[in-house]
Amino acid sequence: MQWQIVGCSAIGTKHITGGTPCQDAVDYEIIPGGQIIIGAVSDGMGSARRSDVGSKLAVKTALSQMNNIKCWQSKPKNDEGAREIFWSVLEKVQAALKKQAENGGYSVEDLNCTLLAFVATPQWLAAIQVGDGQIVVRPKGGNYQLLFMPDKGEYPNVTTSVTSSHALEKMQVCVKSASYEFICAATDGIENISHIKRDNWKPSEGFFKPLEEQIMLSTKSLTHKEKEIEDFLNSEQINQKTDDDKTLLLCGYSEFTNVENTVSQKKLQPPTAKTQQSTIPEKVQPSTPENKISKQQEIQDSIDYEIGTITDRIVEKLAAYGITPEVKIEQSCLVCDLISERILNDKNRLSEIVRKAVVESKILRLTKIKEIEVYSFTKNDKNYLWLKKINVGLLPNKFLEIAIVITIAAGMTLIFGLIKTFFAGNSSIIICFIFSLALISCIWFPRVRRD
Amino acid sequence: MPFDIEFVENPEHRCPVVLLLDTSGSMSGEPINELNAGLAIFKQEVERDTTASLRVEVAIITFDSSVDILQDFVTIDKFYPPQLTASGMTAMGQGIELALNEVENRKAIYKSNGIQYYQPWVLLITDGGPSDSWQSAAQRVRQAYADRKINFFAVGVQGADMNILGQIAPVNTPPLMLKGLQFEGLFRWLSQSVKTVSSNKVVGGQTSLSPTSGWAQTNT
Repeated sequence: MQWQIVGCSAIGTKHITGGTPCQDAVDYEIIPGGQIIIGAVSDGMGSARRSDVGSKLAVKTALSQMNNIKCWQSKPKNDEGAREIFWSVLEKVQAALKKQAENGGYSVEDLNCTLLAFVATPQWLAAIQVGDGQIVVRPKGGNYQLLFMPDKGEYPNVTTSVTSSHALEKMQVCVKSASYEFICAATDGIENISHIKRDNWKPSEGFFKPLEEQIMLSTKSLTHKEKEIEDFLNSEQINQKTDDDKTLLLCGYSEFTNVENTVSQKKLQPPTAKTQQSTIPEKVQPSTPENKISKQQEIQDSIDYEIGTITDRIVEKLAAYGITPEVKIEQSCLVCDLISERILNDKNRLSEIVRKAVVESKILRLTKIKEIEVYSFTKNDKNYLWLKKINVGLLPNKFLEIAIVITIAAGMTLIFGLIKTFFAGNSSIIICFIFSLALISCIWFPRVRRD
Repeated sequence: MPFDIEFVENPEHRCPVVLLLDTSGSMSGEPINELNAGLAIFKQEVERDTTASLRVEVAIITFDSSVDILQDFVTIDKFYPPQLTASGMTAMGQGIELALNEVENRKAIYKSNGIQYYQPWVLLITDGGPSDSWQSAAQRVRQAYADRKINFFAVGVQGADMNILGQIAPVNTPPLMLKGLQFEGLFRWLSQSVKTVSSNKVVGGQTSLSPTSGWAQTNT
């Protein structure tokens, strides 16, 4: 028996439309041996300017502090014991955010974010929650339970931030002695679907059971599981219910058959899910050559699969408009996507295609039916803003191609006429041949290479 | 009870906004025309944001010699700005009381329909001083603000009794004096603010608003 853990964040459609980055963050670690896990998620607040920075830093700091104090070594005696542990975690997070704010030249409120973190062993679990979001657990043989009531008052958009002066008082902590088989930590982006609010925030079995049984307990590889979660978070099904960022961190304790993944990787780094994080290079685990090859193969497969699905989905989308495009996607630039449609106003619809790449994220925005623009932002850009705007001719226009061919033919005829006027006899045929050859190679070869 | 599927059709969170408008005689002429134009701009601006137009609900209460609910709460996509006319006295106290009652009634409706809502907004616009008793209304405003029941903004148009407005509006959001007849700027600001509030998470007790310098006088 051991733990498996997968998680990812997906950007909300309001942030895609607004050109702002994903403000959710998630991180986790399996302690060697596979019996202990620690995890954290954070939701950067939309009202704070740089909450994307805040949430990432909060998650990173929380994990490193939990690691430093080896919070799993002894089970806290009671909730007060847990409070002591998490008090130090929260203090470290607050200090880190304060320092970041000073260095970055903004106020600490600009980094406002929530924090949910937990440590779990086969016998017990301890957790902290500041602000809204949810940790749902299922003990062996039991039902899904919500660990903390969300910190929401009368209004759904008002909550506590880790940077608030009263965060230490408002933080909720607990320690539970039970064997949990399933843990899910999430930001509030999915709460409309995952909980029955009228029933006192009861976790919806219809939501968590499929996540646990069809994803966590399946025999698929971790990469595959993480991709499934991300696809799910990016699906229209979810995007129709929320325009907010959404994050899911799932943990299962079971006899996993795909064991090699769990042990050999301190942490899974599939290409798809971690584009929101700034720590990719340090976190990739050294692995044996064989592992590397199989991992590379796996990544390649997943890229191929992604490209296939993206192509299909674009074709399907555009078919709705009565267009049959030829779509070619270069594998170097992307590994994942989502397509959603939103009605902007009575005249315009916005279809969005998001692609996340290993080193950079790209957003394809289908503004008009015949035009696609790519907005890209790379990790190194401090602002994560859309810096480049590349127009992609996604729909090779047959008419245009025919028009070009006809124009070239007409031009060639004209030139041949001129050549024939100036060079009489056989030499004109040779000159025409050389000229045609040069022209065709100029036009043809660059096209072949591009394809 | 009429069969109402409003909340089934649109289960979005709601952000109720009450426009509490002075339609007393002194507002007649240019001010009321500009105010009417401002309402049209408010609709237009909020509607540019699809989500906000489903979330922001506006109600209009006018006060002159009497108090009227000219427009009950309706989402912006279904809001058609009325043409206000001005005459009579300034029953501001009654107007405020009615606005606060309406907000509470609306909240009860949201609750019974399982709809979540943001902190309601009350925007009071006047160019005079109350002709009725206003002290208890002022106390209710401040209490409601302190309990985070409402956001309350008072805007004075040329001729308004800023002293009394200052005693009505919460200390944290003192009354603002409109620059000339900059209703357009005021309603652009309002639409911007409610759009921001209805889509972003905030920390309890903090209200971050757009700058008001476009339409409000700086030293009042």
